[in-house]
Amino acid sequence: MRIKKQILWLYELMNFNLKSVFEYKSAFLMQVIGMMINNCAFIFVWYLFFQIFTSVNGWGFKEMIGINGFVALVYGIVFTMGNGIRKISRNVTYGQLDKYLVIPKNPLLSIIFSDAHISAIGDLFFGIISLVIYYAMSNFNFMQILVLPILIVFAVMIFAGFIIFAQSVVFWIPNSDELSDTLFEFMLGPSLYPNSTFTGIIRIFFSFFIPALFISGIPINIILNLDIIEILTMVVVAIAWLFFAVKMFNWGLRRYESGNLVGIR
Amino acid sequence: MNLKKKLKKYTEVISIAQNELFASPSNYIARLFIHALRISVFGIIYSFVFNESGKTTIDGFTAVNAVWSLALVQIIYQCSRNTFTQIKDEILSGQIETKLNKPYSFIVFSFLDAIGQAPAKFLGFAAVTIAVLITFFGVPDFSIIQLVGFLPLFILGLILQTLNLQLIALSAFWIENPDPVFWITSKLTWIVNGTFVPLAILPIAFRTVSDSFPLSAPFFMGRIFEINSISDLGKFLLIQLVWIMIIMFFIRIAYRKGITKVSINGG
Repeated sequence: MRIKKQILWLYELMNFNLKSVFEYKSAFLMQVIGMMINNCAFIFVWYLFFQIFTSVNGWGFKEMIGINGFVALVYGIVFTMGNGIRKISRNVTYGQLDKYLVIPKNPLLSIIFSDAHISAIGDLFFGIISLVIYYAMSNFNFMQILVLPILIVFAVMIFAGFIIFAQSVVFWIPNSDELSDTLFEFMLGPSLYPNSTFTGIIRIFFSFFIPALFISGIPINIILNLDIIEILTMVVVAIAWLFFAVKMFNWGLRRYESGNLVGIR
Repeated sequence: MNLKKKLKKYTEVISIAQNELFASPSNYIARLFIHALRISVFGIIYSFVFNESGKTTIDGFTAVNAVWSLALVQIIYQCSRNTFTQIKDEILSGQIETKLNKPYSFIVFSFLDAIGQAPAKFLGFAAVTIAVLITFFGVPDFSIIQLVGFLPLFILGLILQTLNLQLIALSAFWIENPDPVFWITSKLTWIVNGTFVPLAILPIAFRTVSDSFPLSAPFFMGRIFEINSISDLGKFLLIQLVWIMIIMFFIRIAYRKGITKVSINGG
């Protein structure tokens, strides 16, 4: 019953955020299309790159469409639904967390779902289109199609978990907005490179400590090879990251000293 | 006397910004550490890509050049401060009204506040970059003109990057939420400035298009290996200077028009 109420409340929050986003239709369209064009330019850069290097350890331009599509889709889902996730650090720094603490709901969920990111909808559409193109170019079988939504769910959990972790650093290191952004970009950057360039210790580091490969190359690898061990590893990593991140936020929350700003929500 | 007073006032802004950086040294140290990791990763990726392809150079550009190029772009990012969020928040929250009656220019104040930390950050990030790159990836053959070009390209680049962010933030006077504009331009910047793929290995046509963007000009320091003569350096510096003038002009207009839209409420 309680879970049902929470889900209904989250649905209402997202619905409200999206309605306010759709209110300004021309601005909405401009931003969504703008972001999609931007992402296409990114793909174009990789096209130029692979004109020079042809392939990187067996990975070529086709795989880069898959990687960029997958990352864009995960990014789009997380920030379209819960853009507030990137504002935790700032809210803490400016003592604005209080307004989320006084309502009888989970504070972390309240912050995460407090905002929607318009241009992330562009990433979402771009991700879907790129993955459709990637699948069409690859002639995948039914199982390879079926595994995609499952991988998206776990990649979203990992991505969200890492952002919550990076944003929660603020409870221990004051004024760390820039550090949180740096950590976020440190994860996003490697995820946009061909997965095959990461080997040995670097691969372990970017899989488990900074889980960049789990939102990009590893899911594409799983689609290609349908390796059950890799799928199970991804499930474990997703649960572990989300669990750890939520715990870290809750530990940090105990250290939070209320600001003197008065605000209502 | 007036100028002396102004200088004193604005020097104080820079000094406060610097003190802020050292108020939480753990934040600064953690960022230096992440920067070291990030450029190491770039190094590993490009060493791998060049090795695997069997190419030692592309138009005279080596894997070591590529790593240095990407690291230099990162230095500009790390030294500039996110003045966008600060200005945007003040406009949207209405707090800007409390700044308008102060005896300073809001734009100059936020500009100096943003670049005030740059000298200290530059020293730290440059030291880490040089240490990591020399230790693990080697030193490219720098010419005298390239060594001379570093500092002016960095200074003008940092000024332009800060101005770009200010201009985007000022759009908050007209649009309800300028975040998407910031996101779209940030992503476009990654493409045209060589954040992920050094521009030197891309076709000349792409570089020419990239040159014409005010978003890529702040990061010319990353293209240091394309500078072979004083005229090359002059071209990059001139582009940066022209964009600084243009963006300053637009900031002036946007700010003047924008503050007329601020409504001050009592209470």
